[in-house]
Amino acid sequence: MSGDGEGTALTGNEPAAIESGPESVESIPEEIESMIGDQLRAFYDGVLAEPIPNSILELLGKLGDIVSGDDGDDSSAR
Amino acid sequence: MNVRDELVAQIPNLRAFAVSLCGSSERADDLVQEALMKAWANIDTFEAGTNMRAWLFTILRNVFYSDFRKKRREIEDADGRLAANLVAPPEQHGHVDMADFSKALAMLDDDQREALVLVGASGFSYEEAAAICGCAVGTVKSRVNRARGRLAEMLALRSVHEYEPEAADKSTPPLRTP
Repeated sequence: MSGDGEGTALTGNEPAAIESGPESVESIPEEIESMIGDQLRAFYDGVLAEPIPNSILELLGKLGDIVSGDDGDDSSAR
Repeated sequence: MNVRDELVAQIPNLRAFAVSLCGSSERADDLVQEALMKAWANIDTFEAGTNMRAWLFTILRNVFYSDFRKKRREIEDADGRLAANLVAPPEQHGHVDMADFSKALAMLDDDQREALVLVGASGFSYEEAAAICGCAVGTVKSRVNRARGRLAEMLALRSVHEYEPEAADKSTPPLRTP
């Protein structure tokens, strides 16, 4: 089996290392798996529920200013 | 929704992924900001109609691996905090303290943690996670399983069956031959 680049259109400077082939897979009991899944989602959802920090909102404002003016919706041009 | 609004809408998810990678909110916010600047600078390369979230996660992940991960290791090595705070077994079966879970999550290998979070919390399919991580689907599956296994080990999670007395094994006496 080889790593076949999964041809999706991601263009965010794709990672340099492309690994191939599954490593050995051990499974754990479903009960434990679901316990871990619940904890993980609770952890993740806790962050999701937090308000966006001001520092990020300020950055967005600055980024918006850089290109503001006539490009309110220029997605169709791309 | 224009591209900018779409980008803004993904920020909570980006932050959650960043916190999972960094293990700290402050550093995660720095990481998100850097990723957003990079995304904004490369917004022309985003194809409208494709998966904005996957695109942003890929950028954030690359920023993390190219810059933030090294810093994180330096911090951990300096105070040895994570290693010192090894998790205690749960007092009650099935209950895991969130602080303990966060510590255990932070102690996973980076590649295992990101695979687990992408698939188990961010809502990506194995295929999408593989594209984001730049590896094969089988590798993502393997990492997710290893991550679960290690978490179970660190958190001393055991199946209900393992809590049954050893007598269960001895309840069926071996057959005697006359």
